[in-house]
Amino acid sequence: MEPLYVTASLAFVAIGFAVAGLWTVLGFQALQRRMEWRTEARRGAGRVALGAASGIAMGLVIGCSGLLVAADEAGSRVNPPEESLLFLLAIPVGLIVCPGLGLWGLVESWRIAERDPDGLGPAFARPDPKPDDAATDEEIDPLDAPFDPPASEAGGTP
Amino acid sequence: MMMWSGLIILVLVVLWVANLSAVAMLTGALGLRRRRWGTPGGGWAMVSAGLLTVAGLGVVALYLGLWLLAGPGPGATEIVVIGSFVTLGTLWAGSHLALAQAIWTAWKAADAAVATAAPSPRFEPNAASPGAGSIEGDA
Repeated sequence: MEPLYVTASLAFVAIGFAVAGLWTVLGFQALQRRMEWRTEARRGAGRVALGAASGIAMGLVIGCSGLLVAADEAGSRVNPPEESLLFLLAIPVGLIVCPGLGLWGLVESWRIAERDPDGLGPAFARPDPKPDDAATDEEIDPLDAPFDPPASEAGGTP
Repeated sequence: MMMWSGLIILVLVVLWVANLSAVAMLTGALGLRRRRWGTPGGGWAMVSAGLLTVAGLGVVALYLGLWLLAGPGPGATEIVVIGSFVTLGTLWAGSHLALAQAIWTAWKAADAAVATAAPSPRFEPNAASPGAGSIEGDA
């Protein structure tokens, strides 16, 4: 009976289940976006949903492992079959896949938000061609140019 | 036997941290650069990458310290090591939360962009003021 180990295991139970719960919420929201086929904004949501599935698996395995360790340290007899150790594979897979797919979907949403369908750069709004060549005092860095300003002056705030 | 498995795990962890933090930080940095006031969610992506890097490097440092200095067997500073692991795990969970915040912010911005799709964007020099075009919840 090691109270320190029990406490640490319970901390990892909280961490694992918190991550699983977070990705559960995000995964359901991503699925909901994915189903809204009318809008272009759904792109990338499927990737987030897949990453969320991996994150849920990883979080559940971490949390349940913490529970088992805590029970073991507290004195219970925990004898899981050897094959159940394969569940631990969800942790390294999730470590890579979950944030990876999440980031991929995030970039996809950025492209939609920035009107950048090909990923080569936002669709820059070009200034009007000046009638004379003397009007180059204001050099515009393309990366600094505001792109796709909304038609109205509402500012795009939903 | 124990040493080799430890070495393999260490190499894997180092590779994971390098790979993922590089991807995350590059993504966040690109996102921050592409708009004058930052791509919506780019800041959260940077926060996520930073937390992930801290957690991963902390695990590596802790592992190295345990492996090289303390060696196998229970050390005297057990509570420090375990507390560090719990802290790093909390940071890791926080990086996931920051990534979720980035995704939520980007979704909001994507919705706004689709809702206010302009057929022919035109450049307006005064449109770059801090108020114009900024999405609520920019990070």
